[in-house]
Amino acid sequence: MSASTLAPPALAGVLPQRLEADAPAVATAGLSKRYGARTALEDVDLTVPDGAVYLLAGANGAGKTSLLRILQELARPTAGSARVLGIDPAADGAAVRAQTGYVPERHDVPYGTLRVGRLVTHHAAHYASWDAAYAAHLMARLEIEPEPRFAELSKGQARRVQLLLALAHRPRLLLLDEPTDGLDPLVRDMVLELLAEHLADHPATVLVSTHLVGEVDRLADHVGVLTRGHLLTQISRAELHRLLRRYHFEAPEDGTAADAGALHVLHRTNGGAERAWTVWGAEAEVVAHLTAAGCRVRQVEPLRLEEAAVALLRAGRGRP
Amino acid sequence: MSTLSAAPPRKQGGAGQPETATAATPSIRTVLRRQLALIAHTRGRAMFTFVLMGGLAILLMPETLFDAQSTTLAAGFILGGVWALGVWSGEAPSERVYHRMLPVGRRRHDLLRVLAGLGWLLAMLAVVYTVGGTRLMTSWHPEHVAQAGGVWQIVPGRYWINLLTAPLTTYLAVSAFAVAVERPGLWMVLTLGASLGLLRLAEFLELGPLRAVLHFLLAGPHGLGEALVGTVGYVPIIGGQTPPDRWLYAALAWLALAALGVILSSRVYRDVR
Amino acid sequence: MLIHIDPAEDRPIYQQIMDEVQRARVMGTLPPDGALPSVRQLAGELRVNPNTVQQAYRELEREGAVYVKRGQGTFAAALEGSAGARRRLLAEVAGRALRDAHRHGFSADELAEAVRAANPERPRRARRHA
Repeated sequence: MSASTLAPPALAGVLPQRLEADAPAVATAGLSKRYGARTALEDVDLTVPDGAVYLLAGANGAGKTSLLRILQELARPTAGSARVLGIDPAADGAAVRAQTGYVPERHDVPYGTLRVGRLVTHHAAHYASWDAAYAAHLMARLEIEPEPRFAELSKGQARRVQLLLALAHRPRLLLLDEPTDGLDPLVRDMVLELLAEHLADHPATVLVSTHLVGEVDRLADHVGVLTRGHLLTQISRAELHRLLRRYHFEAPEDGTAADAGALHVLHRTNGGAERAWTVWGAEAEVVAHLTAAGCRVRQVEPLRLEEAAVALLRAGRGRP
Repeated sequence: MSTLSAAPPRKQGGAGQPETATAATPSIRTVLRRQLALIAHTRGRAMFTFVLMGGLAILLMPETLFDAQSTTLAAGFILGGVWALGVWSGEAPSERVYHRMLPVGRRRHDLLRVLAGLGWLLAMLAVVYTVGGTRLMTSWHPEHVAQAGGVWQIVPGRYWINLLTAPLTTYLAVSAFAVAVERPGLWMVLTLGASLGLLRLAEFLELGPLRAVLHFLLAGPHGLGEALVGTVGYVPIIGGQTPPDRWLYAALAWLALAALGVILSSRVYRDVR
Repeated sequence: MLIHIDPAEDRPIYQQIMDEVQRARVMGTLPPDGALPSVRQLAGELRVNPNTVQQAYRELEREGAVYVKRGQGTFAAALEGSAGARRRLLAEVAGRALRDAHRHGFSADELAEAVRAANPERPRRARRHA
């Protein structure tokens, strides 16, 4: 294994940070949030195009939860502004929430003695578009019993109730903070199926944050990566698919491949002459560059969303 | 059936184009009704217990204890404060995620919760007072009543107002803390303790103006003490004179002040955690 | 018809769905005038974004591979020149094999020879002789 002597490339200038969209469902401008000395968000310009399924990726404490809360007026930004469905949540949070289905990070409902059915009734009364028939369908699919009290529910059961509450009024926007957290794999898979069907029946914009990036691989069409409160990049899935790829190649014996310093390498695995580099850039250019450096490119492959997210997160921490 | 302002017409049958969410938010009436129902469903047991205990206490205790003057009053205003904490228990401002994710303006929602709690407080008091009142009426010696020229001559009718104003004042005052701060009980006790401590200190150090202000607020003729327990100590003397009604003005002033406190504290914005 | 997709593949997902539909048409598992699954059904089954399915169906319609009956769904068009479609499919299979061979350092000729050598007809005949 050979260690590369290359300095980490300046990715910040290369990764796209702006998404162009007419009438985006969510747009923030210079959004910052500080809790005392701790910075949760720093100058975030998030754009979620209308109708997109936007994956917000990031480590724990990267600011995902804070961002979603600001969009619901559950927290207020220290600086900057947000527009959700054309409305500033700080000015008219109720109008924003009326059109939003929100699954909060926390599972608990503070009413331990309340029966599930009663909470559903309570929730339903607040929404003009609540669809009782659809709610009944969701309860059956999610296997939610109306009888138990909230204190008796497991984490996963509470999560399913929260999903029901978020979906049954057919909101224009879904803000999902770790929606499958606490669910067992079988239920998680069913929830993804349910979500895909829901979007087919009730088109909506989705902003979802999850640790399990892989599970939304086929659903997400946009990705934003938050690292320590900064939006490292946001990009459409198609562009990410095109621009971030893994190149398997053989480096020449004399090691001239080090000349590839002009490439934006996010990750490299070197096994003797055989290399697998994750590189940002148009494939033709990268291949031309590697070939010119005397490398023999064997294979080029796009990354799974999970791999791409990991590569970008790693790059965001300054470790190529 | 709930009412929603500017709600779009509902389509009948499942075959039509599905209706999507609009910016329409529920009416004040709907929200108030939901808050009343929510409190009933989540605090029903506590409410039932209070009414049962209050009723039993009145029935088992000596008949003279139910009046507008001592035990009942103290029990009433302590209940007001405890109930305010109960209405918001488990929902400190930073824990209010569920409450605040509903499509209701934050201040309006908080105020309507306080109002719903107040409604239930009145309902609970009404039951207990009805029990107490019935017992009292039936226990008065008819001769005494006749001698005084009617029940209201024994204890002046307005005195009974304090049985409502005292619990409502403490309910609203504690609610003002509960709406805005994380530990309302602690803050309430600290505020009262600090005020009394300061009054003692001012008296001890002979700080005239401070002492005057604090005395006016706490112990003066229109102070908090007068508002809550101003009617205490008045023993009905048949045909005797009633003391001046300064407690009534104090009670109404402090009730208004507590209500203002709730309105002001609903302006305090706190992030959820 | 079964549709199989893999997000890690080079082709975008909508392209994979299109290719799978074309494959089913050529193989006959999706006969002419046969109904395709609804967008909702396929999106749910594959856990993909319904927009992606919609895009694939739109493109297929544009290519004339499927047609839409209003309110009824999407149906496979009659297969014209099935020989051509088969050839295209085969070219794709060959392309994939070739890329894999290249990654392992084999030439196209070597691959072709190996394919002939691995022809499943031979071992069957050999078994019969034994």
